[in-house]
Amino acid sequence: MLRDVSFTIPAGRTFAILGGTGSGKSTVAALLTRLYDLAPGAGRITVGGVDLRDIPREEVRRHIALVLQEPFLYSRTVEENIRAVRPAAGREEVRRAARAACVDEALAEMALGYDTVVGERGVTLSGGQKQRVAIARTLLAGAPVLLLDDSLSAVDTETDANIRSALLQQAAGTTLVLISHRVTTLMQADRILVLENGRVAEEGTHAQLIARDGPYRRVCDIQMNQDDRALLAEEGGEA
Amino acid sequence: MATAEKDFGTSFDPGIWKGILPYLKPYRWEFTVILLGNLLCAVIDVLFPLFQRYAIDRFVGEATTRGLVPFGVLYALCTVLQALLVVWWTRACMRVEMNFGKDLRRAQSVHLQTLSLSYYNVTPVGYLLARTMNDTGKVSAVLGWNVASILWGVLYMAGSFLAMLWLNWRMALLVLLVAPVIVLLSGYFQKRILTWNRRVRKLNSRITGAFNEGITGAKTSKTLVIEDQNLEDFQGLTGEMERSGVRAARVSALYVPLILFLSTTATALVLVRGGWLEREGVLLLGTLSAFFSYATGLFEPIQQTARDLSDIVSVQASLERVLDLLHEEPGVTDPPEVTERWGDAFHPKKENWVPIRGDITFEDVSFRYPDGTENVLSHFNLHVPAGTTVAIVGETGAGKSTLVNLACRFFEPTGGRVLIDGIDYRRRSQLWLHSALGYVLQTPHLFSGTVMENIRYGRLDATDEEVYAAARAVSADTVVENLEQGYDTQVGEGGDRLSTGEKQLISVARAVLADPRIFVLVFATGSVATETEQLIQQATARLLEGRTSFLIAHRLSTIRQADLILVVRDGRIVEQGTHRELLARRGYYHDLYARQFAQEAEERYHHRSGGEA
Repeated sequence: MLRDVSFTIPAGRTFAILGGTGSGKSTVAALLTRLYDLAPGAGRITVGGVDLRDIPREEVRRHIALVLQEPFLYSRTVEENIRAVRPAAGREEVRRAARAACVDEALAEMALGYDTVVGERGVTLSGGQKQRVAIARTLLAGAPVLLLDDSLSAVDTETDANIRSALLQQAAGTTLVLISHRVTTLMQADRILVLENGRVAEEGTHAQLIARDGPYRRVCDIQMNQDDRALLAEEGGEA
Repeated sequence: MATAEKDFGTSFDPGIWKGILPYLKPYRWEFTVILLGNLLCAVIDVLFPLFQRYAIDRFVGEATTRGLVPFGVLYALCTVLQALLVVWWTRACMRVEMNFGKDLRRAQSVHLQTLSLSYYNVTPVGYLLARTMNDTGKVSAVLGWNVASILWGVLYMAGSFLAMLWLNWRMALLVLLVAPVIVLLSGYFQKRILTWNRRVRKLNSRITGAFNEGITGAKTSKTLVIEDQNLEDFQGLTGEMERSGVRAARVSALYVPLILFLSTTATALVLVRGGWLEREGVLLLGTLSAFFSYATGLFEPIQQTARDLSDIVSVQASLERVLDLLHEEPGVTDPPEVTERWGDAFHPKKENWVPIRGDITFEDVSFRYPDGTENVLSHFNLHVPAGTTVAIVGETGAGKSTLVNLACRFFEPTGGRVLIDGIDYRRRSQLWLHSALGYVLQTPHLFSGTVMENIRYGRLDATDEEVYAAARAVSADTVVENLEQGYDTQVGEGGDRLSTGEKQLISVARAVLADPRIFVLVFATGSVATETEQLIQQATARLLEGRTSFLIAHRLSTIRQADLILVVRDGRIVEQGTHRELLARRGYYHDLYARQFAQEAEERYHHRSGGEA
C-alpha cells in the first residue's frame, strides 16, 4: 500500500495529506494509530524519537485520536455517544465539543436535542451529522494529536471551513492531521503531503505546490472548476 | 424518525382481531374443515373411555368373548377415522398458514408500492422488514395451528364433562371442584411466563444488537479506546439476561408441579370416592375406569389451551403492527374515475394515455408538508415550458426538493393546481406522469444484479446495443469497462460494490435509456471522486437537451447553464430569473455565491502571491 514514504509531522501544527482513492492515505492513518503495525524491516514510525510499536496500543490511541470517514455511532443518545470517550465529562463540556464540531445547532433543532437516540433503533442522522458528532466525541477526549481521515467528506464546504477554524481555536497547540481528497479542506495547512499510488508525489505549502505545477496543481484546477473561477473573477472585479 | 415500539398488553383484545376478518374470508372452507375435523376428533376421543368401560364390564366383568369381533372392528374403525380426520384438518391448517401468509405479504407489498415518498422518508427499513417478514409469519402460523388446537381442547373438555355427568354426576362435581382452580392457575401462570419470556426475548435482541454494534463498530471503539467500557455495558446486559432467564425458568418450574399436584389430587378424589362406590356395588369397575380416564385426560387440554391462548395474545402485537401497515393511508391517491380510465400502478391502460411533452405549470399553488405547521409555498405561480432547464439553488435544508416533489407528484399541492401539458395532473393516473419521469438521486439506488441489468431497468425491452449506446452517451462506458467483468459485474446489494460516482453514472445511463420527458437530477456534494464528477457533469449536459429538467446543484458552472434559476431560502422561493438577472439584482443569490466562492477567491490570492514569491 505504501512504498518509501518518509515525512515528519511537526508538533502543534496543521499537517495535511492529499490523495485520491487507493493512494494509501487511509493506510497512513491506520498505521499512526496502530490499527495495523509495520512489519519488521518495513521502516518505522517514531513519536518523539520512540518507535510507535514500543508504545502500548491504548496509549497510542489515547494520544493520537482518529476520526474515521464513516464513523460508527452507538445506539444510544447523542450525548452518550459524545461522552463515550470520557464518561465523567459534564454537560457543558459535551456542549462545547459539539459547538466546536458545528453540530450543536443541528442538534438543537431536533425535538429531543442531545437526548435523541441515534442508530438502528432511533433517528438516522445524515452522513454529515454523523461525522460531526464523531468529531465532537473525539474532541472531548482531548488528545494532543487529532487525525481526521476524510472526516469532513459529507459536510458542505462552508461547514467544513467552520469546523476547521473552530478546531484551530479550541484545540490550540494540538497537532492536527487532515487527510482528504478535497483541496479546500487542506489548503490552509502548514504543510501538505501529496500521495499517489502509495508514494509521496510532492510535499510543501499550498503556495509552493501550486507554483510547482505538479499533481497538486492539477487536482486543484479540476476541483476549483475553471468556469467558476472565471466567473468569480468577473464578479470579484465588479464587487 | 424514531418508530417507537409499543409495549403490548397481556390480555386478549377482540377489537384487534376483527381487523383480520376480511383477510380470512377466502379461507371459510378451510376453517370449516378445521372446526368439523376437530369436533369429530374430540367426539372420538370422548368415545374411547366408553369403549374401555364396555370392554371391562363385558369382557372382564361378565367374562365372555361374545361380541368381541364387532367391538374390535368398531374400535379399529374409530381409530382409522380419527387418523384420516387429523390428516384432513392438518392439511387445512397448513393451507391457511401458507396461503394466508402469502396473501398478507402480497397485500403489504402492493400497499407499500402505493404509499407515497413521504412515508419512506420517515420509516426505517428495518421496521418495514420486521413487519413484512417476522410479524406476518407469526400471525399466519398462529391462525392455523393454535385455532385448531384450541378448538380441539375446548370441545374435548366439554365432551368429557358431559360424559362424566352422564356416568355419575356426583363424581363429576368432584372433578368440577378442582378444574376451575387449574384453569385460573394456568391463566395466571401463562400470563407470567409470557411476560418473562417477552423480557428475555427483548434482552436477547438487545444482546444481538450489542454484538452487532461491537462488530460493526470495532474500528471506532478501538480508535476511541473504549473497549473496557463496552465490555462493562455488555456484561450488564448479559447479567440482566441471566437474572430474567432464571426468573422465567423459576415461574415455569413452579407452574408444572403445581398443576400436576392439583390434577393428581383430583384423580385421587375420584379414585377414593369411586373405589368406595365400587365396593358398595353402586358403580361398576368399567365405569370407574372410564371415569378415571376422563379425569386424568382433562388436565392436559386445560394447560394446552392456556398456552395456545397466550400464544395468541403474544401474536396480537404482531397482528396489530401488520394491520397498521396495511391501513397506512397513501398521501397521494388516484380517484376511482381516474383509475378506471387510465389504470393503476399495476394495470396501466396505456392505450388511453396521451404522450407527455413536459410543459409544467404551477397555478396558484400553496403547499404545506403533512407534518408541517405552515405553508412552504403560498399562491405560487410558475410556467416551465417544455424543454426548459430549471436549476434550484439554496443552502442545505432550505427546501430545494419541495418544488420537484410537487412537479413529480410525490406530493400534491394543498391549494391550487399543477398542470402537465395544460392538464391538472390529478385528473390523470400517477403512473402516467411517473412513466415520463427520469430521476437521478444524489445517492442513487442500484438493485442487486449486473450493471447491464441495472441500466436496462430504464427500459426493460431495450436491446444490449441500446444499453451500450446509453452508457456511451453519458461516458459511463469507460467506467464500466474498467470494472472487473464489465457489464456483467455484480453491483452488490444496493450497488454497494461501486463508488457513489460510479453508481451515479450508471443511474444517469439508466435514465437516458428510459428517454424521459421530464428529468430530475440531484448532484452529490463531496464524496465523489473529482474525475467522476466531471464525467457526470458532461453527461448531464447532453441529457438536458430537449427535456424539461430540474437540477438541484451546487456548482455555479452547472447552474448558470439553466434557463431559469429558482433561489430557495427557508423553504420559500425568494428569487427567480436567469444567472445574469440574479447577479445583477445583487440579492440573496449573489450573496450565496459570493460566500461560497470566497474561499476560492482567497485561494486565487494565495496562488498569485505564491507565484510571485
